[in-house]
Amino acid sequence: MIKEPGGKPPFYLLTGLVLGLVLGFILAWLVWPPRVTDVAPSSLAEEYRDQYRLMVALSYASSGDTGRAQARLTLLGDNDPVRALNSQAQLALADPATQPEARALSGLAARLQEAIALQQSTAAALNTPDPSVQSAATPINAAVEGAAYFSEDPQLLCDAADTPPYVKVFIFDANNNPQAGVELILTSSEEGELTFSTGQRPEMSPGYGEAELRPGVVYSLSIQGEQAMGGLQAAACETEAGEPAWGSWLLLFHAEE
Amino acid sequence: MNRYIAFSVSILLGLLISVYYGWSARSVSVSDANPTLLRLDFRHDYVLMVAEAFEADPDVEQAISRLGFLGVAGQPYNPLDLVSDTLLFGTENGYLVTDLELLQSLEQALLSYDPRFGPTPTP
Repeated sequence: MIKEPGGKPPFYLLTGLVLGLVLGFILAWLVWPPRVTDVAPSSLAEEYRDQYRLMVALSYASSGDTGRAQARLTLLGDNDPVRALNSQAQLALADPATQPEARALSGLAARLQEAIALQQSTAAALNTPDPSVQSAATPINAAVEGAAYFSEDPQLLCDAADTPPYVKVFIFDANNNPQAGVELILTSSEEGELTFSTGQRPEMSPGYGEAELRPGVVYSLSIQGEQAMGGLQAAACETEAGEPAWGSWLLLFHAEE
Repeated sequence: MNRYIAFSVSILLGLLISVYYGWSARSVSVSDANPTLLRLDFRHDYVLMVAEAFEADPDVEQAISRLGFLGVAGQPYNPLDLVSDTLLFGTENGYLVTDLELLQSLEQALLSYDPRFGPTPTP
């Protein structure tokens, strides 16, 4: 440590640093705080948010475009947009001069509630296995000629009614030994890329890897960056007990010799 | 080193550290912003909403009042400028033709309502 000629440490440097920090704090926090620009509607003060919400409702009353109105309301970041619209409509209703605004706000609230209920019922229907509707479309072997791995026919396992759909992959090397650490990628337009690998559950097999499938989404599977299987999607089936369930696709790949 | 110079350098260092942190590194959250701080595309979308509402209720004064949302409190503003800017923004950023037509319709209505909104004629 640097010492003063008299043997004292140079405390004046520390004092200067603290003084500078305090001065900088005063400048950057109090005198010239950073000017915030480019904010989203969710950052507006409450009165402005109300005006913005009202304009969303009035423009919806004119255009009838629910998707656009919903997207605009999302920008306001309300926890419950329907409730916010209804509350504002109640306030507008109290004033005879703002009856058209009240009607626009409550009209959008009602339409939004319908749209949300429809979205929820569609999602619920999609997530409920129904063997009569979600038939077991078999994945397609998409490996190119000369690919490093070839597959056996895919099998749909229908074990339990309460488990989500999976793709279960076993990889074997050319000597038929399980191969760990093989990179697998599930790709879909909805979810992008999901990377997993064999060896993640060694109690099953060092050559085993699995990933959950989302009902209604079509995936393709790549092994070590090479396309291996296409048209992979969750399929509904019936268990031995006759219960509807999501099946899991069992895919076995062997390395070319 | 002269201790006065070293002292000044340490003050400067402290100053730079806290100013950097205060202006750049610190995240600033805003919860009570006014509409003049809205991002440009949100401002233009607001103008489009006014134009959409104007189609159903062609009340120019009402539209002017609604456009005042984007003005600075206590300062005069030109509603026609706001609509013309949005029309230009919309043309450059791929707004639907129907949206551009709504904006044009509002622009025309504003100009008809008060020609002073329009550009000042040069002699």
